[in-house]
Amino acid sequence: MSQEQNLKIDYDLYITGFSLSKKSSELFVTDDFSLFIWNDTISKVEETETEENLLKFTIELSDSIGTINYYSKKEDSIFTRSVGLDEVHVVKEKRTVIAWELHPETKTIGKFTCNKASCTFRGRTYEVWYTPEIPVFYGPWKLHGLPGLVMEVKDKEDMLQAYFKKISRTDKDLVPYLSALQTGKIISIEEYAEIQRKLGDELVKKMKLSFPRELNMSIDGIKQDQLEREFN
Amino acid sequence: MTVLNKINLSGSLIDFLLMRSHLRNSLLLILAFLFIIEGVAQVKLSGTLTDPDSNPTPGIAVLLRPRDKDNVVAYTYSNEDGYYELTITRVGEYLLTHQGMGFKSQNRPIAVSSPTDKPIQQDFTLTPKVFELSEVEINAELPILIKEDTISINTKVFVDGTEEVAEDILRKLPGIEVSNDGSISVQGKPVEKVLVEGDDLFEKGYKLLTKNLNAGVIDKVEILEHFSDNPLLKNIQESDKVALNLTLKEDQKSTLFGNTSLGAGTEEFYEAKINLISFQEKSKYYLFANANNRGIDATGDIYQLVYPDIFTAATFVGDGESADRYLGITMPTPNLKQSQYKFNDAELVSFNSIFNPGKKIKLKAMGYFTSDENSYLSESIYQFDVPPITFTNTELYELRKYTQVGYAKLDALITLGKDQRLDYIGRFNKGDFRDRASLLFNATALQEEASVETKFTDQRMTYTRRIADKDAFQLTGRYIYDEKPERYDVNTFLYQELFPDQTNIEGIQQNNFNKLNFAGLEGTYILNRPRNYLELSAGMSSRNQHLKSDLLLRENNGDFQLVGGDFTNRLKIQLDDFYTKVRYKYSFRKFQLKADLALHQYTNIKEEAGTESKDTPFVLVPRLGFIWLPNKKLNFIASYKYDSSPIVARDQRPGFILTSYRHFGRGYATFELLPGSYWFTGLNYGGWADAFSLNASFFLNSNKEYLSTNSLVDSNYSLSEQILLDGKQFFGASVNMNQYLKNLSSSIRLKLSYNKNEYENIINNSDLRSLNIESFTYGGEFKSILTSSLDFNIGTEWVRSVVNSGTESVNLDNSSFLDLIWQPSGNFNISLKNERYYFGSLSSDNSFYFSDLETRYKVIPNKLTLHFLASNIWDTDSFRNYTINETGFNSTNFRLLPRYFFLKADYRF
Repeated sequence: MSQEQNLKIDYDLYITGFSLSKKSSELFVTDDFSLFIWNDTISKVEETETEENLLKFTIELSDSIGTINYYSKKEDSIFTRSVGLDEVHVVKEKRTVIAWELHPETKTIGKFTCNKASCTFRGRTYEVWYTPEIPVFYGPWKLHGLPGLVMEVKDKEDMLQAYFKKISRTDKDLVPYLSALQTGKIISIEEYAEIQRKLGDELVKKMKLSFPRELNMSIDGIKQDQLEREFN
Repeated sequence: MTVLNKINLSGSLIDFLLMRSHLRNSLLLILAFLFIIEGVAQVKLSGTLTDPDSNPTPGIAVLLRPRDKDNVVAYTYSNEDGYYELTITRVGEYLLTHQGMGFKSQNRPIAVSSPTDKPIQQDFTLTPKVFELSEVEINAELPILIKEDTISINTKVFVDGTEEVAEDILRKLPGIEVSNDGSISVQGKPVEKVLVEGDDLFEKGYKLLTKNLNAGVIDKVEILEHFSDNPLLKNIQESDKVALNLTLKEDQKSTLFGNTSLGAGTEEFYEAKINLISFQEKSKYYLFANANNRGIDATGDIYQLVYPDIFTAATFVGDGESADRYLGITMPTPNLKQSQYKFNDAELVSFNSIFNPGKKIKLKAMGYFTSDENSYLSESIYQFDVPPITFTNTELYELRKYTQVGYAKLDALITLGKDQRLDYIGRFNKGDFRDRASLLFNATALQEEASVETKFTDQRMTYTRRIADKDAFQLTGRYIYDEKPERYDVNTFLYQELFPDQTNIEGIQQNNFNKLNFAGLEGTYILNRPRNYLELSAGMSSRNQHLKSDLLLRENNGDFQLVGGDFTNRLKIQLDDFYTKVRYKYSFRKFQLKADLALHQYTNIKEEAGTESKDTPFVLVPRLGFIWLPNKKLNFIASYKYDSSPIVARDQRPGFILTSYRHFGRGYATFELLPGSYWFTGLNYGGWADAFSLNASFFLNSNKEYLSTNSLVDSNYSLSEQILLDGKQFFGASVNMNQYLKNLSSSIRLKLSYNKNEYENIINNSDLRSLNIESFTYGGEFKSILTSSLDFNIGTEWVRSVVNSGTESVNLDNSSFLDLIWQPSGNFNISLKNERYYFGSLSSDNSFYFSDLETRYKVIPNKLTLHFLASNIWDTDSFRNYTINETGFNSTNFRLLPRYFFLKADYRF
């Protein structure tokens, strides 16, 4: 067997929620499974002071390992390593088959001819360009099952955007990622949904509690939006 | 008729016709033809994929494409048995393809000619083939246009017409966040400025723009990353600043908008503010006016327009230069908010404008005029206790301060081509400050009067040239002139002992004329390389100061008598500095190293009473800094500096100057360098989002030589002169800790800090008195979110001061607070703040209570907001504090603003 047996696909991943953040992301494809690893290019827990001594907070949850999506066609469940506020969770969910809708449009990305497909998944509509010229079942994040590599992803509200950057062979040892998936409290997707829902309140609480007294503060409400919005 | 059941709309029509008309054959034929073209089928396509050894090959994609097109109409993957199954839903000609890693793909034509075609079977024997993959890389682009450091967002895509003001639009754009108070940040970074069509009318005070500019006039928003005020230094001078630029719609380039805030209260309190902004094709104007008597500093709102440099990293030779002030009647101020004790009557009008007469030139003009009248009332006891002399003085002060300041600034930016530009800034300031006090000193009544009329001009010219992508050269020339003629009169003669030969003296006058001429020239070359940043500067500056001071005694016949001698200054000091500076920064992974070195060749020429002395010391100032960020939660900073700063001109004055009604002071009279070293280390663990966070810092300043005082103190006057001593130490340490208690929705904070100052002085011909002044602060806070709309915050802090000057004195003060904030909705909130101050050394009346209530109600969001305020609810009319120092103690009673209720409305137009 060749040393460089696995495929590695690099994407430019943008999460444009309240802040536009670019993540480094890598999709590893082996014969049996895929790993999608994404993390901040810069760490982003920031506290900045404005001219009136008003504090402004931004938080992105990440650690040195980052978020890992594990998917195997051979298993009934898929696993996600998720970095929470205080602890790391491994989310276990049933492997679902995405009902992709195929569209007649084609376009070229680099030298690859790509086809368009779309789906509705976890409360968002995704538009995807994939190329059958790279026969890979897997895609970034949880967007699997197309007859070719996913080259571009965009959800309708532009929260998630991924752009194919590079494909190469790799001999990178994936064991550390697999063992990272085995450390952390295993929770169900429903529990995960609940944690995500409470996250905003939790953060606002912490924020309020960390304000120095001299600061005049009021919070008009919490804007919260998650990549995954529906969990049924 | 399964086919017809699945029929679409055109099919249903055919069905209908088929049943109704058997005779119309021609029509039927045509319709049957259409049927085939548009036909819907349900033909099964299946097969098995095997390798050459007849083993099933699972996981191979099988795709169906139209024969003449690239798109995919159906696909599936082969299962464990190598079996696949697809359904062809339309009549037509197809290509069946399989694609799998490690096998050569094959194409087979498939045709479905009628919806009733039989199931098709297509088996494949796959030929192994190594999946050849040459590394492929593509540069993708975001739909939002990102061009180097500018992200341009067309607002049309993101707005829905409900937006009223600029910030409503900004809030909707990806990557931009607008907080509740209007602060804007981009990707978590607070924005520096918001420009309109490239013009910066508000500096850091951009909220005025974003909260008032009509949303409808905005066309595009640009995010300018790595923003630099001087565009030629972009990406050269290190900057992680972000700014926004708003582009206006073509037909909306002239617009007028603004807001006003009016408030009135009991006890005749009022506040009025107006902001008026006008944009024209080639010019922009901003008018601001403010008047209040609530103790609010009227210039606070335009501070960033007057001193923009304070908020930018840009530094230029001559920054901060001004002539010295010696006089002015001052009173101690209590450790309270200004609005609690400052009686004022302030008015301010300011005007700011930008003109773009041509593409290559931009002019900015700014000016303001302010007048204020402050009054203070206090009563204090001062106990002097340095044996053998002890005395107690009492003062009852009534002070009025009148201020008038006019300020003008002209800014011209001239572009000299792609890589060159010239900036000129001229600033002019004229001020008139008059203080008047009635004082009851022990049993003596005094009238004091002090006045100063200041004149200040500052002319700066900066030339910038970009040499390569990452190199730049900058040359700055500057001239500053400042004069401060001061006059002080007191109508009583308290200094008989000091002037034993004088008789019939009933007043005293101090006249100072003090001016500064500063000229500087500096050239800087900047090299910015990955990991390495280097800045080399060389320059010269010349600081010329004149001090003429006289003390005059007023005889009872009204004549003035010049004291002369030790009470006169005729001093000219010229300090020239030829210098070079190197600033270097090296970044490596988690480390950052900063090394600076400055070399100064000083020439200090002192001319005094016809004699001239000259000193030419050479000084080296090294500075080292180190930053370590081992992980996201932890950072560590250490820095060290060794400096030998020359004694400033005011400390070289040989003659005494009366600086308050009972104090004369003079300098060291000779030029010296004051060497010292400065250490700082800081550690930061965790942030607000962590359950536990800690900040710790430590500093140590050691002065090998320093200026202290030798004083003669008497009940009626004190006379002190500076002396040069060695070995002064000042050090401090502080720790702050915060622990989040998740289950209680609360947090606990602990604060500890300690400072110690060690030095020596001489009083009343004593030996060197060794002084040791310590202060220890400790306290805690508990903050809790009781419900989602009610917060509560309680805390207390003790300050223990220990002064040791041979004998030890100790003082312990405490202050505590309890705040409640109720916010039932985003449009309404109430906050109640309560404070208690306790002075342990006061035997009676040692506790003071304050409560303030504030409510805010947004009647019409973005349009009308009402505020209601109840200030000083317990009507506490005075506040007494107690401080100890190396000669005794001081206790002062301050008059406070009374209780009042205030209603204010903010309206946008």
